[in-house]
Amino acid sequence: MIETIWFGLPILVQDGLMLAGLLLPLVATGLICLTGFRVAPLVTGLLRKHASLSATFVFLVAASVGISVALIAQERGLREGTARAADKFDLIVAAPGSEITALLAAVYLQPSAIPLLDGETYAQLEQHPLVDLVAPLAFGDSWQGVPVVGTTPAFVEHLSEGLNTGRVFATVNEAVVGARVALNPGDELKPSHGDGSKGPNSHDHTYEIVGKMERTGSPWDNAILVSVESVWGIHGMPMGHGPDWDWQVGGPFEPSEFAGTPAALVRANELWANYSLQSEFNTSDTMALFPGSVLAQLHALMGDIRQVMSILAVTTQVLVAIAVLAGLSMLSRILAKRMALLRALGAPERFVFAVTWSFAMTLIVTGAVIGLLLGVFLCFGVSAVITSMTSILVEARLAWPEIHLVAAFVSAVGLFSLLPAYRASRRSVLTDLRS
Amino acid sequence: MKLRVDALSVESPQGQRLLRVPQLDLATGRSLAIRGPSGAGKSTLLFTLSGLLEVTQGSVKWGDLELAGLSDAQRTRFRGENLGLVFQDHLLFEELSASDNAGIAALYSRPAQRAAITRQASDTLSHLGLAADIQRTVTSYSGGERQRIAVARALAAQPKVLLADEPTASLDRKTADALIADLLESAGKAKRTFVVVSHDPALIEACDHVLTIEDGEATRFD
Repeated sequence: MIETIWFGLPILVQDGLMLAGLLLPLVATGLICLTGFRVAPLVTGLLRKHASLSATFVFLVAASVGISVALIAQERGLREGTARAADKFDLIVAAPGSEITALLAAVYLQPSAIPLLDGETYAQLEQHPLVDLVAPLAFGDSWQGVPVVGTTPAFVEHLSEGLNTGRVFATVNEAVVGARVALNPGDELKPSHGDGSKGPNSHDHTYEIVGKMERTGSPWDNAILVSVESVWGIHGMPMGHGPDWDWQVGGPFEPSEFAGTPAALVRANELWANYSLQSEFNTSDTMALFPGSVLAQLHALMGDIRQVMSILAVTTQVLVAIAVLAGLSMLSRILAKRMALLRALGAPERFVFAVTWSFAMTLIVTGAVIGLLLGVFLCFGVSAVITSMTSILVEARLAWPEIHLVAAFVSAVGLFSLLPAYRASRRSVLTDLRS
Repeated sequence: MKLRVDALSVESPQGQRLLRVPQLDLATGRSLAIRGPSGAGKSTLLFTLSGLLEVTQGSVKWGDLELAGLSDAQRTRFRGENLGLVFQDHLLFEELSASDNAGIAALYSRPAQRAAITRQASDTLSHLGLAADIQRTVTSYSGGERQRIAVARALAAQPKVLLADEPTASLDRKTADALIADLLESAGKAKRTFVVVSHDPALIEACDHVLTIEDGEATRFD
């Protein structure tokens, strides 16, 4: 019954209620502790008096909260970014081998030596009634570390959904660049064999850039796309077409002239047809994989890592909470004479308790709020670095789980702080007064 | 509020006798100076009268209230409601202003009393010559001024009893005389019982009664 009502609520309401629930013990404790007293002048006075000590506490809490928040948000941002990068890759068909290797090569442009798909299989895909789009993805060359991928004009249109500038390549001498490549229409390049790590080994072929793609948020933003025919041609292989080829690039290809491709992107004309194609092309000679499905397996593995990261984040916060509480115990000794004076003047124990607890909570809440802001900045910074390193657009943002984590942390530390506050209120007045 | 002490004995937690006062009576509105050599037990008596030290044996009665039977929390409440305390070394909250120090009781008193305490603190500061710029932190005040702030704090809640420990010890003669006059005038006006520990002959002379303590024993009451 309660479960039905709960899951019937809008997500925003659920998150808001969860936040309220997490903060409720803290708010209730605060109300019970502070009702009837004015602690603000003493607490602000103590903050001024112990400014450096207070700043250290706040920094400790802020660093812990910031790092924990950033860790969790970053992991989610990375997961979303990798999934988004695979959006355009409905089905990948490759020669049998490792699915993950094929995924990394075809979607994330991390090529490794994988067997080639032959012309017969490619022709079957081209002619299949359920296939809307098929494109070879032939990698292996590069320009100044930027991968050069041989494919078809149709794939460029599919990936970029219209170019940012220029047009799609139409000949073996033309190329299109991803949004983050430092080349523009009119520029020329000579590709090198491999990833360029073995020194200059340029092919004797020049491409002219004729277009620049829209940003895709994937590693393809940092790629140069050329006709697969030109890739085959500069490697001295058949160029995919018969003797009467008119030099117009793109399929269909002649099976006997098809030099092979590490992978082919396939898009079915109906969503359900992808499953049929996957089943049909998962044979002893070919491997068909859904990038999304392989990614889900990887994310499941990352899910374990996520749990470990979450445990690490919580452990960090628990350790900081223990450090804060130990610090508060020490602090209560530093404040002992003041608190004893209050009690000597007639202030009730509960007032001393309220002052000590409020002081602790001011440090913790301030640290947590600064930590949240720090977490946001860390998210932006680390996301930018990852995006720059991988070209996978990572947009880590603060979300409800992080806010819930911080609320739980503040609430828990708030409750634990009752102990040093209680001990501070129970100290011997005369001993502390004479100290 | 009258004071009656009977067969009072105070011992340390280790059982060492700190103070013995066979009998002491002080009528409401009267003043008592406690004198004796250093370490004789003067402050111990003051702390016992304020309920900060527990009575080991005997009786300390303020009005009809027996301190010996009260819990720590009850003694604290008694202090808050009836006593004003002035310490030898001021014991002010250094981080607060003169005004906040003098009116500190407003922070933990009942809401209905707060305005009166704040007003009284301000009036007393003004009466003691500290009307100007009382929002400054007390660290910027001289020793004499700080002692007057401590007096204003003790009087802010208009206590029935004022207990002071060496209030003139750190003051020059002129300032000390002015403070003695203020304390006695205030006590007289409010019919406030005043008990003070002092070495200051002028202050001792100005009080109605004098109790001499030597080696932890009350030896003479005049």
